[in-house]
Amino acid sequence: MSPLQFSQFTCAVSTSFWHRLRDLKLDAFRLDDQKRQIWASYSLPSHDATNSPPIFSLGYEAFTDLAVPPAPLDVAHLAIPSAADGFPSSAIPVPGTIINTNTLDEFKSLDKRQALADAAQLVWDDIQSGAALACPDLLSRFLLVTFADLKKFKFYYWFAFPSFSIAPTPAPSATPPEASAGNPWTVTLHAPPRALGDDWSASDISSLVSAVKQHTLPPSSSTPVFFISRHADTIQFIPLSSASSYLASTTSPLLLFIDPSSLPTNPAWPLRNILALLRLSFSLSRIDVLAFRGLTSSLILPVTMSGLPSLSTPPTGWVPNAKGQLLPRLVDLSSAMDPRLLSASAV
Amino acid sequence: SVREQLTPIATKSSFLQTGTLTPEEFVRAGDFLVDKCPTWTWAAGAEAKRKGYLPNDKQFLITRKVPCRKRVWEIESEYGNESERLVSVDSATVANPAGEEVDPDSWIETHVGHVASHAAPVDAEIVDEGVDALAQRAAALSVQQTSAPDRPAEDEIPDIEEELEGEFGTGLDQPADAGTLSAQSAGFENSSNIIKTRTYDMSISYDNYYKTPRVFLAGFTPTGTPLTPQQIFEDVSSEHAHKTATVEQHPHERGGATFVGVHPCKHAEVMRRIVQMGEEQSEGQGEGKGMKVEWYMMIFLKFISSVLPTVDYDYTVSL
Repeated sequence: MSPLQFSQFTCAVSTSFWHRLRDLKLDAFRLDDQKRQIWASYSLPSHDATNSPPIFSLGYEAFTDLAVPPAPLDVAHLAIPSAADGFPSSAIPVPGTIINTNTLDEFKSLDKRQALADAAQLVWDDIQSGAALACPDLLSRFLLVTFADLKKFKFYYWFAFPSFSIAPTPAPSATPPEASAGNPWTVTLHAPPRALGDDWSASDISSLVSAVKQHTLPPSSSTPVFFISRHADTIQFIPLSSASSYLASTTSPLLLFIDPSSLPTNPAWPLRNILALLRLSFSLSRIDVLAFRGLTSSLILPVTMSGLPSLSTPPTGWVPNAKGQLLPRLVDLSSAMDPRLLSASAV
Repeated sequence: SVREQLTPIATKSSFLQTGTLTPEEFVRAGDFLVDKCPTWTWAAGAEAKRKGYLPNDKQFLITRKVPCRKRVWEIESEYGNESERLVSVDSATVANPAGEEVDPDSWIETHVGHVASHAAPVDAEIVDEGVDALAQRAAALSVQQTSAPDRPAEDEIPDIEEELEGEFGTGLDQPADAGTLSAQSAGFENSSNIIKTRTYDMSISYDNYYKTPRVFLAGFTPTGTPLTPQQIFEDVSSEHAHKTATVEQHPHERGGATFVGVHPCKHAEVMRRIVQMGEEQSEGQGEGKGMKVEWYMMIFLKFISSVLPTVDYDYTVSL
């Protein structure tokens, strides 16, 4: 029994996002610093990535609808962006909230703990209401706090991916905790992760890969997580919304999630809240997770859970900086934005 | 650019004679690339920047988050003096190391011995007879040696982190969480592979003045910060950085962000030579089928890999 640890995202914010934020701040938002809805995305690891953390991409296309407030999202009318909005067709869009403060002092003094708690509450509510079953994209909601210093071309930012606290794995001698609200949530591996190729034949894997591509790519685009039912040669995908009947029909449930991580033993962060949903909604305690990474490096993770996720322990999710400290990040784009520097380097 | 706008749109195929493409051929070669290498996709780009001579949804090609594990100076020092060859159409024109009398049409192929890490699988053969072989024939025409540049300082965590520490103190106090993979336990901190692996978004547009594809790069540091143009130049072979690679606005992307572009003024000439050698090769073997315009983008990407030797984008085809 070893704890299952989830890899946080490396957040790659393109310069065009900062250009877009600058323009919106100057032309549309002005001094209005209310929360706004944005979209980011992640993808399968690149074709030959090994041992790389998952990458989270934020670009010019982040602001799809400037009028939409971030919460609560109306699931029935959630317009998941597509290639037409500038999102790569192979990417999985993720909804999030941006708080762009007006001053550096406001950025500093913003109550980060409360902001994360609020963001986690949204995920919690979507699990309780069943909205997340219908639209698992809601589980990956993120929070971005920014301050744009437009005079100096400096952008302060901090990402958070809210999730419920996971307690340390109990010692083997301890009595296994029961699934009650009183016991903290633990997520462990009851066996080491193994390569998909250990369980599946090469031809089964290649038919899985093409089926996943058809299932997740436009025009039949669907959410990046579903159950798998295998009978003889046929692979059937079952959405989370049909989880009750699926879980009743099998003793060895298998969950597939699109895993942007290429680390040998660790899945990416989005799996956390997916497992929280399954634990809270179906009291699921054992499940095999197929961390789908494409043809060669997909993993099977034999997951065991105990206790229950809750908000009584403060949620986790702020992304540390490059040195591992819980501090915001700063990007200086003077070399890419300052007209004086640009004219000097123009050829 | 204005020059591009004033140039009439090519409709007559002449890639065998001149190495250039018509917009229609650009789309055909791009379709073939997207079909064979799924890491590449077509993109529509900004509506305001759309070119009428290309289909709305096929304005440019893009591949995202391509790993780049090393800086150019690392492989230039690995392969040393034997890593560069001057590709020249006229084998008589061999320049001296000082660079005088260099054939003006020549192109330096760098890092000849370097093999991109993804090129290893046996099933990933280059197009048909092998673009590799063609490129090597091109390279063999004449050879010039140049010396490797001085090794620049290693990337360091920028001062900006220190600046934030000063402003924000030691950071937020977030309760310990057993489910979070820390950088230490992932081994990122000790792994030079992770620390140095940059990622690039690379796109190919059509340049109507030069009538060739054109490459643009934007990239990120291992921690997700956008690379400055100066940093991107570290991944452009030293022969091309600042000369054929320059800071420019992307012809299709929105937002006014700057990219590093590889200037296409030599592309047609190099492509013409490679394509013609392919022609001669297939005639010599009695195949008589010649080069197909669909292969153009693969060959072009093979050739661009001499400008961007450490950017591991995919141009391989499994047949």
